[in-house]
Amino acid sequence: MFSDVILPGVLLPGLVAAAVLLVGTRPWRATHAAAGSPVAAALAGGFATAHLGLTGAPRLLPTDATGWLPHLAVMMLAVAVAQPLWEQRLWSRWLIRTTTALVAIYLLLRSPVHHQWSVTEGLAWIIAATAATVALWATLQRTCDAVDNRIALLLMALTAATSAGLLTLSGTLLLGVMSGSLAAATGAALLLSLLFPGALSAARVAPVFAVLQAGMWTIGFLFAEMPTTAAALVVAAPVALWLLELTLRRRASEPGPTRRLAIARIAALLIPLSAAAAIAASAYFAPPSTTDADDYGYEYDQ
Amino acid sequence: MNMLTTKTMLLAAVATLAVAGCGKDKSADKPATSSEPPIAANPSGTEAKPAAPPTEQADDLLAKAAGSYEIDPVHTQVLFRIKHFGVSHQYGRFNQVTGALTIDGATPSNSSVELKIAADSVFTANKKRDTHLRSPDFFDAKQFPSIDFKSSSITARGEQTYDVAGSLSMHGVTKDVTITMQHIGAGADPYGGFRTGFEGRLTIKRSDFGINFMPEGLGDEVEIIAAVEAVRK
Repeated sequence: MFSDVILPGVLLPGLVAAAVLLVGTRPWRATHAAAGSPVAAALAGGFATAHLGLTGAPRLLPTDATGWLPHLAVMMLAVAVAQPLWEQRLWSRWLIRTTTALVAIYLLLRSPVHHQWSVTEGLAWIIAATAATVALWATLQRTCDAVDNRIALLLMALTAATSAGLLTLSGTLLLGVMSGSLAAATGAALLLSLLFPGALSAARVAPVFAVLQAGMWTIGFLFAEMPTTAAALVVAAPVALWLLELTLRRRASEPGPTRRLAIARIAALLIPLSAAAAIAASAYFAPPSTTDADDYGYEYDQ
Repeated sequence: MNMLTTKTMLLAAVATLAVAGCGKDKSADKPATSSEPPIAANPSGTEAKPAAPPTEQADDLLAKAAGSYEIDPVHTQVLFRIKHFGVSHQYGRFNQVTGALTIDGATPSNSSVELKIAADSVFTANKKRDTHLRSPDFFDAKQFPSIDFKSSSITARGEQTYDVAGSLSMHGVTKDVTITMQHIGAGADPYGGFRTGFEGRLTIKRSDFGINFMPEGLGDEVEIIAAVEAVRK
């Protein structure tokens, strides 16, 4: 378990992320500016390391959804690095978010779209998952822009850690651990930002984090055993944060205490996610019924 | 006198039993008349090895079995075994196997096999483990619901044994494999139908099919045993 899962899935990604951040920002230097891309690179690098360690070298053209995740990490890192080019205008911001999320979700759902689902079913899932991804991305970006970097990184680390539990309890340890690698990478960034305040910026983390996290939620719901009510709560989490951000924006003239606002933001995202994890746990640990059988009528020993 | 009578009766009984026993042995040497192939006697009693009827040659059995068949899912098993932590073999099976056979009795190479295994029917008698096996970590059964084998060529290898080459599709990956199949038997069933059966073994590497998770906990090599029974259409 340790050498198969914990070491490649959590410890190594955390170390790789820390190394990328140290090399990328050199925070010990006296004169440094807060940098955004190294944090995005640390997340993508840590995530790709986890995938490599857990499942081996990725295929150039993967056949399954999980196989596309490291490709998406690289793609979203490029999008994050180019963020200053497209984030200035409202239309380009939404165009890039929508098209990259659409491409990411299409790649994840490629196999059932082509081989299983009807056109209507495929379109419906692609649109729904893309909308959830864009919602998470836009909300996280707004939060990252509004709060201190350390709060933003803490929010993402807790989201990834809760999602790790949710995905594991939904029957997929692999995705649970990969979500754990996101938590480890954001945790490493959080640690460095605490040690060297001002050295790191979370401004460009949202594209990488949102697409990878939403992608894993999508796989967990469609291809693993994430309960429907848990999935609904997962979708509700960024919506709750979005509504909170809108409310705070309206009251911008009279902002409340920073710590209370930070707790409110974390709670808006984590309460629905924790409830989703609790529902998944309840399903996972439910005692088997006396007539427990698989879909083909073969009964399990009690 | 009484004692002598008792001994005489005992001797007579033993002699009768011995004669009866010899007669039974002789009858066993006679050619089998049933259309079902007998199971070979096994002195150790640990393993029953199927054998063809003594009067029937390998080609005769194939000729007798010629025709188109549908797989009988209830009497077809696809089993697998895999090493666990390098210390033991864990066994599992698939509970839903369908497909078709076509047997050309004169030219085995014209025969064909198609098997379709429901990936979500994987069964190891532990519900949580089966749920995990169906997940994206292993078989990814919702994304790849079917494991398919389709033969491309069949060549006779020996007595009632054939090399069945074909494509095995699993987890979105298709690989060419060759299964050595033994023709177990063919004959009428009590329901007015006609059945035939084969058994074959194959060893694959799960990493060849993109199933790589937990390489130290679970071995890479998976041995598959397919015991197929089919009913003539």
